[in-house]
Amino acid sequence: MNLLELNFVSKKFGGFTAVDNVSLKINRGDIRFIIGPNGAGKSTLFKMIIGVHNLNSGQVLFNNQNIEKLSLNERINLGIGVKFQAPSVFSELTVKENLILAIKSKFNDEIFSFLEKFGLEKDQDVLAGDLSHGKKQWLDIALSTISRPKLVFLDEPTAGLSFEETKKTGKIIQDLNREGVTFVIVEHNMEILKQIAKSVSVLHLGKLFFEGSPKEVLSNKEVTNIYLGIS
Amino acid sequence: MLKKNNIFTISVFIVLLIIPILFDDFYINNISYFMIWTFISLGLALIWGMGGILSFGQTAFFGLAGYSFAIISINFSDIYAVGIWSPILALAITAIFGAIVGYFLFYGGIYDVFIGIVTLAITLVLETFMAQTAGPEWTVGNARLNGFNGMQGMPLIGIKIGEYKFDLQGIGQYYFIVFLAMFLLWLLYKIKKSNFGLILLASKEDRTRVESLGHNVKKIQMITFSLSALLAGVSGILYTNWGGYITPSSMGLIASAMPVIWVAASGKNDFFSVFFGCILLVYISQTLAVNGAQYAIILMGLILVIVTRYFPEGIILMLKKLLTNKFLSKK
Repeated sequence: MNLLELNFVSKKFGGFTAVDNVSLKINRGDIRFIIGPNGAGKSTLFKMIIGVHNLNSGQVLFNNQNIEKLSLNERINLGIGVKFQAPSVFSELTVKENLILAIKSKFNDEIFSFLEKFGLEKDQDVLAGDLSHGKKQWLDIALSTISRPKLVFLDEPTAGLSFEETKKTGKIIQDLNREGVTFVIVEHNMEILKQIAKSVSVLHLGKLFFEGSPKEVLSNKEVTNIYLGIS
Repeated sequence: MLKKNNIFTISVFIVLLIIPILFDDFYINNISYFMIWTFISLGLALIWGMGGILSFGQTAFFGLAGYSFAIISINFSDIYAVGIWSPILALAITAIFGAIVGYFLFYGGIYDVFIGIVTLAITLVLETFMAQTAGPEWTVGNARLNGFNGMQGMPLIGIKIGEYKFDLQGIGQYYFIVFLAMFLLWLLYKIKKSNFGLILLASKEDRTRVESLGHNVKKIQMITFSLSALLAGVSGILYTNWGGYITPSSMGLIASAMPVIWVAASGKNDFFSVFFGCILLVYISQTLAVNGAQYAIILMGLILVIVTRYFPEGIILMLKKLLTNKFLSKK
């Protein structure tokens, strides 16, 4: 059953078409990776879905509800979580305050369980700006998921992480997925794709180029060529 | 439990509470005057220090509240308890005006330096408008606006119950301002520690990220802007009551720059520092103004330049931190 449906969405910046008539369907329980070379339109598509960019044409349905007229915070309150490309935690607030802000309530057991899940329990009173890059990424993912949204968008959640940190990030995402959270992940890192992806969409020059299972995508020669810049 | 940071606040308020025992009416009235300006400064600290939104036109709300209070109280001076409900009504008008301006700013997508420009324009337009209301045609009911000379003759804030009459002046006015300041500082600290305060502090860093957590940032900013207008209005009404007049120059360019200087120099991120610093800076500028208003303006400008370059956090806040570390850091 579809949780998110994009029908022929397009976005132009001046004369440049960043996203061109893309249609996508995301099932409940999926971990969908959206991949493609730089400039393929991945981040633009992601920002169109959450409402940072307006659509030029097309339709976005979330839970069978048309959401393209809603503001960013209204879309979030329908049950969507978002993590942007650069780690964007609130550096002047403590880790705990960051999570209180995200869950919209006082400090409670849920916050503590998330601190444990992400290995941040010892840092709860540390200013978020003083965390290491890896911990900032985890806190950012925690901010996106703590309110238990139905669908979470993660834009490059493993950027700048070590191999071990990437594995741990994958494990956390899988755990949350088992608890019922659907993920759409924009990513360049093929290791985490192999580790957790259930389905993959490939974008190229703003268009949907290929869709399939991780195995199908990774064994597809044309996809490989795109990544190597051959086609 | 007494927290280290509160020691300075409590000490200053103890001193303020015993001042009337030590000084005569002249000094008490002067210190009341210095404290009147703390409310407009606290409002600016709320919207700028916590929300990251620099309003250069808080004096528009100061003047609007002062004029509204004067017009209402002159027109309805024979209606019972006008000295109580007229300032409340004037504050309501100011808060609503603040909310309307805030709505157009934040829902209109105006941010950063443009907010400073728009708010400065509002206060200068109001000043210019009020300055040309000298003619007899510029009356509201019984109240003459009186152009550049400003309005006078409004009844004092207060109430008469039977034989007993309380007017807000002298020592009564002084203690009213001290207790109001204590209450508002407590309230502002509560706001800072609330979810509302967290949203405001976070939106200073990254508005889009706060919205992406499901918060309506524009609404929060609009409410905060209205609250800051309300606080400026408190100053405007108390100023009008203190001197018995309100003039267009209270909304002029120099007047609008002063709160920005007081708040920046004191430490915009800490309400107590703003409160205390504002009293000190108004005292300094008034003392200098006795020998010529231009000296005070030059000194304030100089203070702003020095603070921006060497003490970006604010002098009072920096001193508070230094004293806390030196005397209170060990158990």
